[in-house]
Amino acid sequence: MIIQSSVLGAVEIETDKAVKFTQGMPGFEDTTSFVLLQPDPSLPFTYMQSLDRSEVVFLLTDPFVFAPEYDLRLSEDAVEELQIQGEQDVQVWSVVTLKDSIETATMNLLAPVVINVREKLGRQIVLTNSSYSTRQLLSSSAPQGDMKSTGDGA
Amino acid sequence: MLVLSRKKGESIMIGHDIELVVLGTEGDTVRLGIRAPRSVAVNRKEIYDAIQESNREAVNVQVPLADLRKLLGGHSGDKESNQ
Repeated sequence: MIIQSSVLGAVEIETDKAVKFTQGMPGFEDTTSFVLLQPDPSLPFTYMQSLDRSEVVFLLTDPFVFAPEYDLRLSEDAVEELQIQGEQDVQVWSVVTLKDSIETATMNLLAPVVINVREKLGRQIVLTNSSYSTRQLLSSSAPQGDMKSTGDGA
Repeated sequence: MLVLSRKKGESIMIGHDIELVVLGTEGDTVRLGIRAPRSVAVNRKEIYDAIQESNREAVNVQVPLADLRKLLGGHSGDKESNQ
């Protein structure tokens, strides 16, 4: 089927590629069906396009490329909720925010988007007891410092 | 907003499957226990607000591929970690 994306225009996708987010995304609770569209397979970035609202699209990145020491532990509840049976089922992405320039682009490490690729289920999961930031700089030209100390969450 | 008073150890039912238990107080702090289905996310409000705000800022951003490549700069760009 052809879907309309405000970022990518008209895109042809197979219907079975849709990933179900039963709880939507925080701030966009009504958008429960998304498709991942990778603009360039050699780059660790993907767009997450809502099938419900064409203007809802997020840029995601692989957090481990920019923060190799990212320590992510899923709770038992999250594992059960996403029906995860093993590591091979799991993809972890971070939502990228871009305000002024690409050099100030940040990613949300506090709440990764976790996808079970086998079951096509996804959820943005808050790493409640971590001190990760929702605004971790991606640019290698900026001093990263101690990643954990930039947390603006509890 | 519905306002209820509870003593330590007492509970509140929200809907039919969410229970809020007042475990106790220490000074200004109230300890609350929550029993809820797995599908219901429970977070401190300021955290949830921060995530919502972050998503609202992030939505509908379009980045030229050349800029995405720029970001990779000194990083390996190895996407094998997600395979």
